[in-house]
Amino acid sequence: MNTWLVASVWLGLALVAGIISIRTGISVAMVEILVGVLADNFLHLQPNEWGNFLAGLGAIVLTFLAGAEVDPAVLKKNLKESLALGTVSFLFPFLAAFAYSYYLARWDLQAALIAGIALSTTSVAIVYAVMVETGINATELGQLILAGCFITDLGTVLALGVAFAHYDYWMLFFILATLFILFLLPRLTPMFQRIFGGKISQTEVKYTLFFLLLLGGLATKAGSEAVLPAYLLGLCLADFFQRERELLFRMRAAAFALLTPFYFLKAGIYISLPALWSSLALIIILLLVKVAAKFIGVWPLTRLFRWEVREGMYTTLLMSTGLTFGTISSLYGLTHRLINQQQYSVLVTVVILSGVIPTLIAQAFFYPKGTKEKEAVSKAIPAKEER
Amino acid sequence: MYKKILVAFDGSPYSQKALTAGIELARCCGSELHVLTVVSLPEYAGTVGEVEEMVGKAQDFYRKKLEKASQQAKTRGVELKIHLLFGHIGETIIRFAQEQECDLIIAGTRGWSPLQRLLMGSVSTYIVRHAPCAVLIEKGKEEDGNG
Repeated sequence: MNTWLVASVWLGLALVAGIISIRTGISVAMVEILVGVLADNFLHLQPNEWGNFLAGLGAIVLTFLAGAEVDPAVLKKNLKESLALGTVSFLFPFLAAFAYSYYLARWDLQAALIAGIALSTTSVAIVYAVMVETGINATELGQLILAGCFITDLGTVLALGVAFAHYDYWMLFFILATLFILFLLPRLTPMFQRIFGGKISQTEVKYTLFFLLLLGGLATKAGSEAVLPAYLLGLCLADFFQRERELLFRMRAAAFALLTPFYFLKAGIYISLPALWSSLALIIILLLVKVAAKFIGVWPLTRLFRWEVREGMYTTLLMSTGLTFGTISSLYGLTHRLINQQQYSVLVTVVILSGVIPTLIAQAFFYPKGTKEKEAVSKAIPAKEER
Repeated sequence: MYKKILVAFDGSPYSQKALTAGIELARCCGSELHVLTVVSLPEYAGTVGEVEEMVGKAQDFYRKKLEKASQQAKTRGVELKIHLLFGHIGETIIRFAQEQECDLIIAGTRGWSPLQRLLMGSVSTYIVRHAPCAVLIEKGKEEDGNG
């Protein structure tokens, strides 16, 4: 079929999703997934080779941006508590979802591992948006929660990177190359930016993409997943990107315009509506398993930190949310034939529901009292530099 | 009469009209005057950057508008307390009014038709329905709202 016409259909869908997103206030990622669901089930649209490439690159850049958006100062300041919070927030749902899928839902080992990884995630973006709304993003509590979410995401990408890898010479080479580049780049990048940055040719964007693709390629050779080095690369350059916000904006603009629509539309396209109906009970159970496991892990820790009951509930519910990394893990499972389309449909639906339902409950019943009032009065207009 | 007045302000000509009314009322009654701008963030965001960028742009855009509003009040001898918050617009205005114990909320309305209101929703309607205090809606078409 005519390449340009096919491309116009994809970008047309992305355009429709963008308009709906602006009109409804729902994030473009979520709307693109839903538009993708409709595109497959009613228009029978399927991704082709270049669509898959753009979607794959979208996932890599999206993961890189998630790593680069980490504020190293926040992470360092709250390292002990955030490590504890992030580790239990990853580990408990991972084990619970894996155990349920493997022992009770009778999924095979690899599918159960994907279920565990996909449902272990926390959506940093959803948590961050809600915290900005409540005004606690600038408080100690807010920064600790955010740092905990980063650690949870790190757990997810590490699990995805190591669970299905081939432990051979390629893996050894990949680990050594990654370590070398992660050591080199924080030192080399500021110098590169000083000499070659800020030009019309966007050399610094090409430089970043080069290392992303190089490590992604090596990861794939080792049977690992390209998003693992992408997140690590983002983390190691986070300090640089905190200073070079403009570069981060440019990369995000390029990714949101051309790459991520293909990724999120594709994530939606593979959701089968008939599969959802037949697995409705499993979807509800897995959602409950995810949220319950987050409660068992995170809630006692909030009490240990001597947080108020309300703040503890609020934090636990926020850490139960998921979106981007959940869909990335599920799509990885489907494209590598570790799960089938029915299992994929179940997992992505649970991921989407976990983005919506805990947020709604947290906002409706556990909204921290008086936070907004205090913030509003003390900081009428927040300083521009504040996160 | 009114001790604490809250003006819901989005920088539009309609909300400018509400601000003018708020300033005059605060001057007459000797009330404390608060102006609140609420910016809605993307629900269920995909990336932190998506949210951060919106917050940054909103701060840049509304800082100037709110400073201008503050100047306008100052020329009428009224001290204005300005606030920029993020969230669901109607809910945040109501929550703020409750927390600050405001006794009057003033908002502008675009004067939409019932069909437009049905399709687009209306902040002023939401405020009237949920406010914990008296509400004054400054009604008018765009061309009326510049003064």
